[in-house]
Parts: sequence; structure tokens; C-alpha cells
Amino acid sequence: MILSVENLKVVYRGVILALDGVSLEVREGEAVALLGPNGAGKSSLVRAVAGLLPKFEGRVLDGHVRLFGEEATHLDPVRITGLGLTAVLEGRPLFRYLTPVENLVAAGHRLSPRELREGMDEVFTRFPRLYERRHEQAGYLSGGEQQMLLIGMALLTRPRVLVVDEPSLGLAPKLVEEVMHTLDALRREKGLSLLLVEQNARAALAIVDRVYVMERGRVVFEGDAQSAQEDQDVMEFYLGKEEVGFRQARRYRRRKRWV
Amino acid sequence: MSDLLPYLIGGLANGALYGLLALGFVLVYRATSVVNFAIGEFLLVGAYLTYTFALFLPLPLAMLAALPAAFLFGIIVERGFVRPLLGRNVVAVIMATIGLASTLDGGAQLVWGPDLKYLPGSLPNLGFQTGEIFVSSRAVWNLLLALPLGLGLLWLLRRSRYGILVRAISEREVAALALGIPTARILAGVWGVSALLATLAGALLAVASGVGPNLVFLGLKVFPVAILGGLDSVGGALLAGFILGILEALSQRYLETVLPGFTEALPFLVVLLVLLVRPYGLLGERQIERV
Amino acid sequence: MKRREFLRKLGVGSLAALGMPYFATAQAKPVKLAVLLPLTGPFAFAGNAGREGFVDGVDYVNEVQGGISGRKLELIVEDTGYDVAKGTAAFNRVIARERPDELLFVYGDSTGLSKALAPEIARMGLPYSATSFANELADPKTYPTIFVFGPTYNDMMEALLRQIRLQKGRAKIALVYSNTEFGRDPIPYVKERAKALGMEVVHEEVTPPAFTDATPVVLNLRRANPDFVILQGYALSAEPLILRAAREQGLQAQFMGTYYSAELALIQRAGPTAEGFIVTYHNAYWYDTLVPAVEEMRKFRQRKGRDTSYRPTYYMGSLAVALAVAEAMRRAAGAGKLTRAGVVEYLEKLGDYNGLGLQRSYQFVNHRLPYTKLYRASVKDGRFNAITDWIKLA
Repeated sequence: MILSVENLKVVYRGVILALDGVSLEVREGEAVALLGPNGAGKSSLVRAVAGLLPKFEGRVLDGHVRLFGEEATHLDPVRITGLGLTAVLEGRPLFRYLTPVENLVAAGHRLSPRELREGMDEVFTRFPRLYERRHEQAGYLSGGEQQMLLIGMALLTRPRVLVVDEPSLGLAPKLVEEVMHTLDALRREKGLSLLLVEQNARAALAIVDRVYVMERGRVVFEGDAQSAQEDQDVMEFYLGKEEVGFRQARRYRRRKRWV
Repeated sequence: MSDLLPYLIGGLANGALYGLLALGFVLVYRATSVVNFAIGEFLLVGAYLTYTFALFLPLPLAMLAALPAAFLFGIIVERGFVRPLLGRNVVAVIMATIGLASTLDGGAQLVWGPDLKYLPGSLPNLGFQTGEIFVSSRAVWNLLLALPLGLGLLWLLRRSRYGILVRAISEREVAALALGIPTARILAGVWGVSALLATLAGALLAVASGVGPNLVFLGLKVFPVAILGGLDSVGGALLAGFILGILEALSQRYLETVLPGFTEALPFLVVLLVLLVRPYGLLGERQIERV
Repeated sequence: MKRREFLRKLGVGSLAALGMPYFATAQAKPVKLAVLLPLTGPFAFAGNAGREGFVDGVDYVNEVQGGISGRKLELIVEDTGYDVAKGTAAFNRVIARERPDELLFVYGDSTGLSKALAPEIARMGLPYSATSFANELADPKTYPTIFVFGPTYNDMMEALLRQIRLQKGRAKIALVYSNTEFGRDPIPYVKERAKALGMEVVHEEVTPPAFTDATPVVLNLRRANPDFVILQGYALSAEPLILRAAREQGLQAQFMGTYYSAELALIQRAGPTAEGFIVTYHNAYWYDTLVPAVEEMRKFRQRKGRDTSYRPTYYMGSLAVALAVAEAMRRAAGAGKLTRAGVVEYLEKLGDYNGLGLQRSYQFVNHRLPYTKLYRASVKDGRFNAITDWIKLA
């Protein structure tokens, strides 16, 4: 098992319960989507597995995170990335005042100069547009380019499992497709495991093997991509209508309970 | 001009020290968002460290030995005083550094006593006279040591891997952490470097004019210099140090006779003016605003 | 504590117990002297030396002179940090805590603090003196209980100006002083007197009380090209810097200073550049072994197991105050007037006393002692050597 989360409870500032007993798994080489509306606790889960909760005044109340079979619930981010899990947080967490080259250098801080050079070459070969703008401040790149840079940075941390939070946010549909395609290609080439956290279920489902759906801090659906697409509720609330919002999504849960 | 030049040289020599001190101050501010009100005390402790080493070692070696000791001191301060408070509200951290300042003041006086101390031995005299213009040894030494160190540090910050990491953390610590960058260790290092810079300034002052508790007051110059340069601009700090040194020299030359004591108020007046015209300081960064 | 020492103290204790009936009453009503000194801050070295002088003086009064007519003289020490606000707080603390019939003298700190406290002191009729020699304090009409145990800064300047006139007729003078009450105090007087004496003040330089670079000061002096430079309002931190920079840059003027520059540390700090520096000083130096007070205190300190090496001028100054105040109290007690008013009265009549040679005499004129000597720094001797006898300034 690459990553397993068991019955995880997370609170912020000691009172706000964000995860209320979440369990999920990512297996070797597998791509998993974590879907759910805004505020479902997806990002909290990302922070928890990346060891970043303390930076957000949060902590694990109960439950476990295991990485490659090792207990990793309270490890710090340096250890966690060392073990091979890299999380790309939501909101394009790149260094806007640094150039793409510098961003990549920062990301590849563990690599030898030679590995770093090769790694950068690889990233620039994959994303030629980044290469053209490699000496501009990253804050001025387009959204798509920033997302490419972030993926490149994540690669330079040499992960075995990649957790990506909302890569599609704010991108045009065409670009979303491109990003998903890139993630999928990378996963296959590098043999990575992927946990893709998304609101855009349609885009995510296209490249994953299995799906979890979260709502209000709990996992409310779990199944393979196929069955998710066949599940009427999931379809209705996450795929059927683009404009599905928070309130309607909540109805899903209520119905589920009554069934 | 030959009349003014000696003032300017003296001003540049002082400016080099202001620059070093402000460099350390801004570095810490940028990396950790902590306004270090104890920067004057860093200088004081550094000067005393140099003095203490000079009791056992030849002066150049003592100055050299004080630098790693100061680095260590900076790290200890970061671990003990700053890290426990990071992420707390700004006022708490500011109060902590003010408290740290008094603690260090008192501690220094306890350990080294209230007397002005002169260092045994001195650096080789590099002072010289060309025509009418006299250049003092302290001016030569200040520029000779402070300038390369300051510029070297800027270069490292721009070009070296370590420098890139420091800038990355300064901008977005959480993102750096997510990449597995050991931010705690690097930030401690930044405090160490800050203490090291202050110590070199302190050592140069100690060599030229002795060490006493009043050296702390030089720390007050840091705020005008840092604000003038732009609080978040490391290069600006160095530049502003020199500018302030020169302005003080001009004021000494032309204004002091008309308005005795004016030079003391000058740095703060300059800051006021700069902030009115350029709120980000001379080299402060513009915010990148695109979504 | 070593055993023998302990037993000895025990012995002393038992002896004291035998004399109980007499001592008990003596202990019950001590006479108190409070000193507010800058034990921390920029003048801490002066403050601490001064404190030592008071401690020795009071111990000497109690152990050798039998206290104040049998009553114990008690010393209260408070720190001012050379800060007017802190000093005022310390003063208020002492006044609130102590009984007016026991606390008979307060010795304060700095021109700034003393000026701030003066009206209150006058109102309370509290005998007071201070580390300050400010002109304003020597004014018995306004402040009938304040004494200056030495010449005022104006007097000191007068002494220097007379020396200048002796050395050179129409001299050009530069004044370098700190931007403090202490620094500014005698400046108007010097300017006026210099003019009256046919001298020219060619330059005035106001500086912070402590600074680290004297280059601009000396550059300005060089342009003004004075024959004499008088420094005022520093206490050994700035003078060495100025002297060094001046010699380094080839300034030939004769440098002069007042009481607070008259300390040997100046010679140590300024090194060879101190040579010839002229100062005013009105007590004895620790190396003036012909002065009975020095001999007496050396022996006393030796008996007490205290360090007998060089004691600074600030020590001597405090000692001179402590002994004189005790003498005045003793005389007041003899006349049955051991009160604040009595102490003032007998301080004014102390002209026949000279504090074992620490002062020329305690003949107050307008509540100050208008006598000083001039001394010149000798680097070879590492000392200030007297170049005049007592100069009478009023």
C-alpha cells in the first residue's frame, strides 16, 4: 500500500472539525480521484497527508496516515517528501517572484547539481513554453504555464506518489484537458501513484482508476471510475450538470442516507 | 570638492556599516516577517564577542573567530526566542524581540561590565593622505571588509541554491515546506547570517572606537536605512546604508554649522520624505498582481 | 564562608550583643543618606565608581568616626539608568518610603534629573546635591537646600578660559559639546566670557552624547582651525575618539575638558593622543598619597579586604560628598538640630572642614565650591599632573 488513510479526524484551532473519520487508499501505480464540493474537507486531507496541518493551525485528532506501510501521521513535511510523497497544494503554490528556473531549483533542492540539470532539461523538454519564459518572474506566467511549472516542480522532488489539489481551478476547459493529459502521461511513464483532488469530476474521472467522494468531512462514496460513472447519484451531482453547486450537492447526501 | 571629499569618504565608511546592519535586518524581515528590534544588540554582542576573542587572539583572528560564534548566536536566538512565536500575531513577536533586546543589553552589561572597552592591538594602519585629502584607516577597513561581504551576500542570494531557497521560503513558506524544503533549518541560518553581519559591523566599530553599551544606539539607524531601501529589498538596504552615510556627511559639512545637532534627526527626516514619495522605499518590490 | 571567618563574625556578633542597650537605640533610629546613581546605562561606570565612594564613605563614618553622634548613617542606593523618568521614579520611591526625620540628604544624578526635581526638593526642604555641576543648581535663593560640591560647569569653563588667556592672548576657541543638559549647560557662559576676554569662538559642534565616528567633528574643526578646543558633556566615551581622530588628521589645537573628562581612563583610551589634554578637577586623585583622605581610605579598604588599586575620580567625588555631609550632620546633631533644616544650616557653615584634604574647603559660595585646579595629561606617567594650584573662581 502506497498511501492509506484510516479513520482520520482533523480539527482546526481545536474546534472546527474538518475531517470526521475519513479512510482511503492509494495503491501502487494507481490513480485515484477525490471528489467533492467546496468545503467537503478535500484540502484538509491533502494537508494532513503532506504533514502541513500545523501550518494551518490544524491537527490530527484521531486516526492514521500510513505511507509505504510506515506510520506517517505526525511526520513533518521534510520527512514525508523524503519518503516519496509530494503534495501540490491548491492555489498554484509556486514562488511568484522567482523565475521558472529558480522555482525548479528550489523544488529540486535534494538533487545533485547534475541530477538537477537533467531534471530541468526534462521539464523544459516536456513544456517548451516554460523554457521560453524561463527567466521571467513566475507570477507573470499564464495560468496554464503556472500549472505546468508546478507539475515540473513536483517531478523534481522525485515523488513516488503525487497528490494534486485542484489543478483545474481557474483554467479554461481546453487547458484542463491538457493538464489532465499531462498528469496521466507522467503517471504512466514514471510509474507514479496519483491522488487527484478535484471539483471538476468529469475531467478527473477521465484519467483515474478509482474514485472517492467526500462531503462534510466524510467519504460518502467509494468505487472504481466505471462504477462512479454508472452511479446515478454521482453522475447527477458531479458529472451530469456542470453547474452543480454546494446546496444541491448536499441533497445527495441526504438522499443517500435514506436509501 | 577637496574640502567635501573627506566628509564623503567618512560618510561612505559609516554607510558601509549601516548597510551591513540593515542587510541583516532586512534579510530576517523578508525571510521570517519578524521585525528584529534587537538588531542593535546583535551588533553589541558581536562587538563584545570580538573583544573577548581579542583578549586571546591577534585581532584579525579574533574578528574572524567572532563570525562563526555570532552565527551560532543568531541560531540560538532563533531557536529560543523567535521560533516558538512564529505564526503568532505580529505584536507578540515584536514584543518578544524588544524583550530580547533588553535581555541582551542587561546580559552584556552583566558579563562585560558597563565600562567602555578598548581592543588590545589594532588592525594594520591603512590610512593614507593624497594631497589635501586624508583617508582614515577605519574608512579603508570598513569599505574593504563590508563592501565585499555585502555584495557577496547579495550575489549568493541571487545566484546560489541556498539563496534561491531563502527567497522561496521568504515568499511562501508553506509552498516551500510542501516541496520538502527544510525551512526551519534555513530560517535559522538566516538569523545566523544576520547576526554575523551585525557582528562584522560591531567588530569594525569596536576596533575603531571601543566597545561599550552605547553601541546599541547604532541599531536605531537600521530602521531608517531599511525603510529607505525598502523593507523587503536586500540590495536596497545596502544601497540605502551608503546613501544615509553620505547624507549624514553632507549634513555635517553644510547644515551642522547652521543647525547644530541636525544630523541626528536627519535619518528620520529622510525616511519621512522617502515614504511620502515612494512608500515601498527605493528598491522595494512591487506586488505581482495577476490571478 | 570559611570556618575561621565565620567564628570571627560570631565573635563580633557576641560583642555587639554585650553592647546591646546602647546600640539598640542607635540602630532604631538611623540617619539616612539616599543616592540615586546611574548604575546602568551609558554612565554606569561613573555611577558604580560613585556608589563605591558612598559605600566606603558611609562605612568609614560608621566604623571609624562612630556614626553621626552615635546614630548609624545608613546608605540607600537606587539606580537611575541615567534616565530622568527612571530617576524621578526612584526619587519618589525613596521619599515615599523614608521618614522625613530620618532621610536627611539625597544625592541625585545628572543635570536633567536635578533640574526636574529641584522645585520639589525646595518645597520639601530636603538637602540635596547631585553628580551634576549645573550652574542653575547653585542658586540658594531659588533652591535653598541644593548644594553643588564643587565648581559649577561655568566655573570650570572660567578656569579653562583663564588658562587659555595665559597661554595665548587673542585665542580662537572651538566648543564641542553633547546635545544634553550636561553638554549645553555652560555654553552661553563660555561664549559670553570668551568675547569679554577678547577671544573668538570660531566653531560650535553639537553631537550626540555618545557616537562612534569622530571624523566629521574633526573635519569641521580643521576647517575652523581653532587654537583651543573645549569638550563638554561627555564622560570618556567621546573624548578619546575625538582626540584620536584629531591627531590622526593632523589637527594641532590644544584640547581641554572639564571634571567628567578628568579620569585616567581617558589617557588609557586615547593613548598617546591624550598627551597634553587639560582638564579641571577639584578633588584629590587616588595617587595623591600626600592627601590624608587617600592614605586613610587606602588603609581602610585594606582592613576591609577591599581592592586598594586605583579608584576613579567619581569615587573620590562621592567620598568627598559623603564625608562632608556626615560632618555637617554631626555638627547639626551636636547642636541638637539633626533635621533637614539643620543639615542645610551646618553645610553652609562647613568652611573650616576639608574632608581630609579631598576638597580645598567646604566654604560654599552661593552653594557651590568655587575652586578647582587644572591638570594636564601625561601619557608617560599615565596620569593627570596638576599644572596650577587652587584657582579661586568667585
